[in-house]
This record gives sequence, C-alpha cells and structure tokens, in this order.
Amino acid sequence: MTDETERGEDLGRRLRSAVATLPVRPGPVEPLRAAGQRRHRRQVTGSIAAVLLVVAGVGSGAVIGLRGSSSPTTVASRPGAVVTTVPWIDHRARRPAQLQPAPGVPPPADRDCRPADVSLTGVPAAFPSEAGPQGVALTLRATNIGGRPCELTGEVSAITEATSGRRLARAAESDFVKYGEQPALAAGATATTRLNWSSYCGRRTTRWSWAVQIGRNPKSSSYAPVATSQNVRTPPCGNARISNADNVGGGIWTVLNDFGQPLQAPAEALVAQIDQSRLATVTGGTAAFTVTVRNPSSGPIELPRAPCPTYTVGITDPGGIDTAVDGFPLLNCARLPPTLGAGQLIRLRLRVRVPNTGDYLPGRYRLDWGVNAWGLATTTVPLRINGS
Amino acid sequence: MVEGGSTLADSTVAASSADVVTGLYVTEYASLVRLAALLLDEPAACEDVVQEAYIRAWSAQARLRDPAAAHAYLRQVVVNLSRSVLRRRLIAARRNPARRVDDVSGADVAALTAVMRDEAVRALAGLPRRQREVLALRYFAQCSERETATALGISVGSVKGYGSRGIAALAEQMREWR
Repeated sequence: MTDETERGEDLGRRLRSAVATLPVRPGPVEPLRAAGQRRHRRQVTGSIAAVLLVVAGVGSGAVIGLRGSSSPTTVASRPGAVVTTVPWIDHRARRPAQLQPAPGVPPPADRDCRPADVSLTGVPAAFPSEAGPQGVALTLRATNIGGRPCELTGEVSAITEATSGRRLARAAESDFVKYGEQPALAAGATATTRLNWSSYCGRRTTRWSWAVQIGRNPKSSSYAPVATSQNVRTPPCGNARISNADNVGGGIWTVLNDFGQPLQAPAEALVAQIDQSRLATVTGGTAAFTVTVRNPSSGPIELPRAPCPTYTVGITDPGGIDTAVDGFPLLNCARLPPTLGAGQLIRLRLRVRVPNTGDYLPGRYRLDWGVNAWGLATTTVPLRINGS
Repeated sequence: MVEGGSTLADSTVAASSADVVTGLYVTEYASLVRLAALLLDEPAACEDVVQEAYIRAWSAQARLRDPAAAHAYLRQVVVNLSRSVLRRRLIAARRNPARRVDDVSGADVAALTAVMRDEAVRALAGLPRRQREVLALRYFAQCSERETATALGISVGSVKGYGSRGIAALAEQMREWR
C-alpha cells in the first residue's frame, strides 16, 4: 500500500474500529443545557455592564479596561505625567517552603469549610474610578485558618443594614452556588473574589456590611462577617437606575497562587497596555516588549512588592482557549516605585521566550500579559512566530 | 456520517429549530467522545471535554442556528479543549511534579487499554500534536481539508503538509503499510 489517500482511508477505518469499543455513556442533557444557558446569561449581563462602563468612560474621556476583555485598554499619558521605566529582570518565583504539601495529605475536597475555618478580609473601592462612582467593589480574601483542607461552598452575599442594625436586603450572586466553581482551599491557603454593586436607586442605607455564607445551608449561623478596612456608602443612583439590591455581581472564588500574592491594590484600578501593536520572533527565540501601567484614579495606589508579585505571560495559538504560562516570572521589584501617583505611569520592559517545542510552530499567536496581585486585566497583543 | 453518530440531516430532524445543540447532543456525543479519545487518553477526560464543548455550544446557541455550523463548532471546541487539557497537564507537571498523584484507574480504563492495543491508535498517539489532530479530523471525523483547517485554525496547505507527514510517519511504524 503506497498511496497516501488509501493509507488515510485505511487509517480512518482502523481508528473507527478501534474506538468503537470505547464505552460512551452520555448523561442527561438537561444539566448541561441549563449550565450553557446560565453561562450565556452571564455573558449577556457582562456585555451590558461593559457597555455601561465604556459609555460612562467615554463620557469622561477615558476607556476603562475590563477584566477578561481582549480589547485593548487605552493608557493615555496626561501632560506632565511621570513615567518610571523598570528594566526587565530574569527572576522566577519559588514556592515558599511552608506551602509545600505535606506527604499523605488527602485531596482537599473531603469536607466543606465552616465559618470558623476561614478568616475573611475585604478592601472596598469605588468603580469606575474616572467616570464617576457608579458603584462599589469589594475585593475579598478568605484564608483557611482551620488547619485542614476544606471546600469553599456557599454564596457570597452583601448585607445592607439600617442604622439600627436591622437587615434591609441581602444581595447575592447565587447562580454559582450550585453550578459554579467551588474551590478547595488547602490549610493556610487563600482565595480571593471580587463583588461589584452597581448603581442603586432603592432605599438609601447608612451602613452596609458584607458576609460570606460558608457551607451549603443559608442559615444565619453559616454566615461569616467580612472585616473591612473602612465603611463604604451605598452606591449612588447612577445611569443604570437599578432599584433593587439584587445587583451584586462577581463572587466567584479564585484560589491565589502558591506564592500568596497579596491583592492590596484596589482591584482593577490600574490599567495596563502592551505598547507594541504586534510582536514577532522565532521558535525558541525571545520577544521583547514593554507594558505601560497607569493609575487612572485620583489618588496614589500602593504597588505591593513584598512578596514580589509575579506576572503571567502566555502564548495562545489561534484556535487555543487556554494560555500557556511559562513558570512564574517576577517583576523587577527592586526598581519598582512603592506607589503610583494619580495619573502616573510605569513602563515595564519585559521579555518572553518562545519554547522550542512542537506546540509553537510558525504561525500567528496571541501574547497575554497580566499581574494578578495588582488586579490588572490581561492585556494582549498579536504575536507572530516565524521559523527558526 | 461519522462513527457512532448519524447524518446531519438526521440531527436536524432530531433537533427542533429552537434547540439544534440538543439534537446534536443526542446524535453526535459519542462520536465527539471518540474523537477526543484519539487526542487524549483517559475516558473521563474525554467526556469532560465533550461535555464542556456542549455547555459552550449552548451558551453560544444564538449564533449556532445552522446544524452544520454547530457541529463544526463542537468539533473545534473539542480539539481546542483537548489541547488545553494536555497543555495544562504539562504546566502542572512542570510546576509541581511532586504533587502529582496518579488517579486510580476506573473500570472503563480497561476499554481504553484495549483501544490502545490497536497498532494504528498507538502509532497515532506517538505523532506530534498537530499531525495527530489533522489525521484524526481528516480520516476519523472525515472532515474535508478546509473543515480541518478551520477547526485547527491553520491553512489548507498546512493541513496537507501535516497530513502528508503524519501518514509518512505512521508508515514508518505500521508494519502493514510497509
């Protein structure tokens, strides 16, 4: 047999014959369809929110980058803005010894977390910062202090209270409770999530607080209060004109990486953009690029440097969904300023090496870059890989 | 028509116009799992990939009214997710080899082992990822060169190149083709 077509047809027959013995048990269709439709609704809601934010941003002359958006963020410099250039450094984070898993630790999903297992802290912030406050956001951190692995079940809720302490409303993003990610939290590990409360035109409140339901049953004893650094006011009535309190978005837990990167900066307050419109290199080669990070808010923002934040950099192929991350490169913390003033910029000089493997054949790819610890939305740029 | 499935016309009949994807779930689930089996290994991972593909299809249902387009979309997502699974494993192994714990084999793994006994499947598994994907789509899923190119996000010329090199590599390994 020499002809390629014949060999192909023979291969097809043999493959079909071989996998025909594979037992395939399709489950019920309803849960999958329901999950897909819920995801669709979230995408629609996110799109509406994005349009509102962009409209608000355009009104004030700024375009705010959105988490997960592949659209470029505008990082325009203001006249007189100070630009700090930070050179690239080839350092990678190492796993702290205390976070090494002990031998024999069972998979951390055998029990639900209880309120006493977790310590909760929150950092409130207004958003979007340039277009006028349209709501408040809370960056939550939950640390497992129970000494045993457990699973973070339950919904993240916002509780508004009258001055008397009487509970007025509980707003929650409850959809994920039954169907979304329910991450396991190893002993000592931390997870983070972000809640957004959009403009609110309902009954005004003078106090509000946050609580997280820990455990699957929504009873009062299963709520754990969140310690916040300051009180925040009920979101002002804005363009969205939402008159009920059930407009809290977010609430999906993300376990922080093993390096315990802090999330001290107000999430998504900083915006970043890769300066080059496109990049090119060869398989096994290195692409150099710069990223400009700007503080669009009206006040200084602390840039956490201890421990030094890692950044994510990945190369995604055209049909790819995931991003390949090559280790955990560190920012050049020795050269970073401790804070970034209002409207000020830092320019990071960076490099990424394209692995010399079969996964990065010549072609068009996408480079993604972000810093989780700074709450930066991922910024992307086309990357062309030429033959070596 | 693909193995374990039925024609698109059948699936169109099975699906109401309002829910093309549900019709494709009934008719194409098995063939997509089998396609994933040629790109991945564990049956559970293959089923996860296909289930996720259907969830994505339902979330994109408004854009998938045409059964042919929906089928192509599902196939493309299965290929992409299979790549992602393999890539994620590589990254996990690179980051933390000590934490890797082998799963206890389920009863259905024996079936996959039987599949892997076939010389063609074993030889296919040894090919580079792109060649494997091209051959699985071209000759198992019976996609045209253009459909394969669309599913993989590469040019038709690349499909021909990968396919030709893949067949040549298999011929080196398969006694019956020598």
